Amino acid sequence: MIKAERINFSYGNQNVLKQVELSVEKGCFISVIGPNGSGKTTLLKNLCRLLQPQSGEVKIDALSIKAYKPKMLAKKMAVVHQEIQNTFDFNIHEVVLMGRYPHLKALQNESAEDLKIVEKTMHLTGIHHLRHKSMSTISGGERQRVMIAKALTQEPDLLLLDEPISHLDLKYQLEVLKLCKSLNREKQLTILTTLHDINLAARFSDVIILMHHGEIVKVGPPAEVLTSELIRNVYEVDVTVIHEPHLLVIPH
Amino acid sequence: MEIQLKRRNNFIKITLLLAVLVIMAIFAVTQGNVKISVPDVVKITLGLDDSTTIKASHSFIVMQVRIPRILLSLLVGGMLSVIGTIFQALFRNPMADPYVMGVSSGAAFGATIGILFGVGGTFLGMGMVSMLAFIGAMITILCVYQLARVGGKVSTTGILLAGIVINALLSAAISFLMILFHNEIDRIVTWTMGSFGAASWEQLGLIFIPAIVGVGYMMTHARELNAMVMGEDEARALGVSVDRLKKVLLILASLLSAFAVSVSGIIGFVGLIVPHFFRMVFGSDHRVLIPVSFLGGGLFMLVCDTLARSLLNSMEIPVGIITALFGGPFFLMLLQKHKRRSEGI
Repeated sequence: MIKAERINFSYGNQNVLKQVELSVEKGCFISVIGPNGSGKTTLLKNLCRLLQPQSGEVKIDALSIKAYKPKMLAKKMAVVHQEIQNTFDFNIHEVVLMGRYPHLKALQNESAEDLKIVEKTMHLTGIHHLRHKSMSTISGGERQRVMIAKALTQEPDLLLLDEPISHLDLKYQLEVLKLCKSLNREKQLTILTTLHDINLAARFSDVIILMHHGEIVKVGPPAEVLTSELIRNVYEVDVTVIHEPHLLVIPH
Repeated sequence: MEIQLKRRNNFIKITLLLAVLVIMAIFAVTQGNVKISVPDVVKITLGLDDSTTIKASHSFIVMQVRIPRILLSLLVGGMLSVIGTIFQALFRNPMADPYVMGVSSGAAFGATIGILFGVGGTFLGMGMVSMLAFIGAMITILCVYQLARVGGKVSTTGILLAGIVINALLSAAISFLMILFHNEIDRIVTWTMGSFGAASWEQLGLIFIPAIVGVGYMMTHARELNAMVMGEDEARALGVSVDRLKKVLLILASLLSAFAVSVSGIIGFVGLIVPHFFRMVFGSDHRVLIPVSFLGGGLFMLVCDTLARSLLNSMEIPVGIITALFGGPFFLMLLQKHKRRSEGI
């Protein structure tokens, strides 16, 4: 689905990504974890062409990401960013409708089909009842779901999320991740998300990528990546990992 | 379907706005030092005037003075409001106005030079002072644009900062010139407060095509502007070619504001406030916002200019004074009402 081939990225002379190799299979739920400054967000931005690696290449469906036209790429993958700007207020319906942009030609009005897709994604993300409200009057969790609905309206094969739950309380954290999981299971949407919470990553992901100082330390199922030695090496924290009933990482 | 209903509602509102605009325009033709009746105005404009019933001077006032002036104020008001809308969206900054790229001070500097050195004559139907204002504005735009460019990209914060610094620099230079040549202070100050006093068919002809083509082009990019308001990364993720869009719109919008300034001087407030006003009424969707800002900005400017030329018998008030003096309180009232409504009081 998406592949990174030995990508290097630096801001000025600071190497943020070093020889990163990664391959995401279709239908997977992948979390990227790692301490602050480990390069998670930079990796994500390289994967969606917001940043371009100095060397190496990102490929989507075996084709270099550079070959994609902007709208073509937006039909393949949607991105939910960490922060959203809300200088001027839109209502929820207008925001979700923006997701149809890559499918429309200049000056083409949304068809009944487009509107139906918008309705569907609003139902799917549980925001349909909010559609007349403006972005500034809804809660953080609702706003995040609106952004996910907008991303889904693009009808992508791949959804990238950058810290989608970092500003949310526990209830909304679970709600957003559960939504992602069900999209992943029911719609075969491939999901790659950066996460801070190791335990939530363990609970929801098929594969975890552990990053440290711009390098991928380990890739694998949660049980293989989340070991006390690796976590001590990367996070410099002593932890106990228990496996029953769920995998759980408990700091000392 | 709700969306069809919304589209029809917007259509009705826009039609109403257009109707009010036409009525106000006709009314404005009758107003001024010489009052001319509505039937006479209609006869004159339709070419049905015969010298037995209508004075030749009236016909001259209507055709050569008032109508070009009214059309010019409509066009400039509309342009400034659309430019303001575009800049506010591109910069995601409610404080942005048509002059963010230093157009106002650049034009004022050019005009000051023209006034001080008494350059006369016309070029392409434009007075030399206007021409110098246009050149001054263009040079400033290029400077600000170059200063804000990093690699192949323009940074919006860079533009805002470079614009502020260039503005301060040129304003200081203008003030210095005014102190050196204090005999001409009046003319310079009047120019910087804006006026349609020199309106003519030539001026109208000069800005008509840029205005219509420019605003039309901006309207075709309304959807991209919506995405830009949510953030540049958001817009990129949706497949908008952000860097190209930014470059084209920045240059086009500042070019249009240079045209506007060169025919009317610096008229503040309109381009800042009209977009906000219509955002409160119609929402932020640029597909609606751009056309209503164009019509509404034109209407607002028409009303202000009519007041400017008819309030005092002895003299004309610079229109920039009217826009802020009358528009300001009206806008504050609306802001209060809107705040109360959104707080549910």
